[in-house]
Amino acid sequence: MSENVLTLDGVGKSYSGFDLRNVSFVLPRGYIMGLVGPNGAGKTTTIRLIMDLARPDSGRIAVLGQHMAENQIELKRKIGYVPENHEFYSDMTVGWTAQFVGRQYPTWDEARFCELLHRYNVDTRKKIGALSKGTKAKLAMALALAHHPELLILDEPTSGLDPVVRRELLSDLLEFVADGDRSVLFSTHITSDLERVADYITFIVDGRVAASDEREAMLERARASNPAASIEDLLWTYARGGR
Amino acid sequence: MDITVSPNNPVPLYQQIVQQVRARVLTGELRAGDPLPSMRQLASQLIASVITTKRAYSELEAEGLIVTRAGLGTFVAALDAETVTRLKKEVVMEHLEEGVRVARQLELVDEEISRLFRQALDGSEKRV
Repeated sequence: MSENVLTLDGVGKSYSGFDLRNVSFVLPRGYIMGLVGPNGAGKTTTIRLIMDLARPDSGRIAVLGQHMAENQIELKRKIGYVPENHEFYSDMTVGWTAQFVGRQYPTWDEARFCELLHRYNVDTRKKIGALSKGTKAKLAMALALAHHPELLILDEPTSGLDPVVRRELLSDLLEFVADGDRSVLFSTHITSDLERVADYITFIVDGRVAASDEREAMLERARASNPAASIEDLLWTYARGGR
Repeated sequence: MDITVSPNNPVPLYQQIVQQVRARVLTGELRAGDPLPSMRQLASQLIASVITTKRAYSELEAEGLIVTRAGLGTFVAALDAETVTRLKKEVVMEHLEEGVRVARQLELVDEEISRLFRQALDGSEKRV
C-alpha cells in the first residue's frame, strides 16, 4: 500500500566549495513532502539530481519506482517540474508557451490548462515578459498540472509570492493529492508553507539531511520539551547543529 | 462541516479538528449517522495535510465519536445519553485539571484553588 514515489539512498554530489553528502529519504505515494533548509543548503541540488539534470557521484535515486537515467522520457512525462527560475521566452505570449510545452506531453489537456488559467486569472495573449512574478508562478503551476502528472516537483514555488497567492498555491497542492494517487515534493525556505500542507518534512542543512519524517511526529517530539515548538524552531535547532 | 484550524494556535492542528468535531457531536449539532467529509476532502477544505486529518479521524474513532464504514465513508456514531454525559465530563475535567496544575505550580493551597473555581463559576470579578 505505501509504495514510494521517490527514494533517495545515500546520494552524494561534490562541487567545488559545496558537498551534498549521504542524502536519503523516501516519499510515499499520495502525500506532500516539504524540503526545507537555509539558502544554499542543497535543496536545489537535490531536486536537480532527482530530475537527472545532474548526476550523483554516489548513491541511488528511484523516481516512480524507476531510475531516471534508464527511462528518462517516459518518467519525465509523468512529472510536473517547476524549477526555481522559470525558463520561459519573455518575448512570447502565454498561449505560445503553452503550445510549446504541451507538444512535449502526450497527456497534455488543453481544456484543463484553460480552466487553470481562468482560475488563476492569466491572460493567454499577454507576453511572458509583461507578467508579474506571481502570475509567472501561476502559469508555471498551470503548465505543470495540465499534463496530469503523477508527481509534482517544485523548487521554491512560493518564493516572492504574496500571502494570498501563496495560500492559493498551497490549496492547489492539497487538491492535487486529494485522490490519494498523486504526490508532491516542494522545496522552500519559508517554514510557514509547511505548517499546513506538508505531511512529511525533510530538513536539509549544510548538504546533509538533518531529519526526515512525518511532520506531526517531529513536532510532537519537539513539544515534549517545548510545548509551542514550531517547524521554524526545528530548523533553527538543526541549522545550529543540534538535534 | 464548518470548522477552522490555524497553525498559529499552539494546539496541534489535528487536536484542533478533534476538539471542534467532538464539541459538535457532544452538543448534538452533528447527529448520529451524519456523514463527514473524507480525510482528503477535509484536508483540502481546511488547507491542512492529509496526515493531520487522518490522525484527527483516528483519534475521534478511538473515542467512539465517529465510525468509518468501508466503501461508504465516515459517519457520526450513535451515542447513548450516558456516553455523551461521560465524554462531556471528561473534556471539562481535562481543562479543570489544567487549571489545578497551574494553581499548584503557583503554590496555591487546595482551599484557595477550590475558592477560585467557585469564583469562576459565579462569574466573580474579585481577585485574591
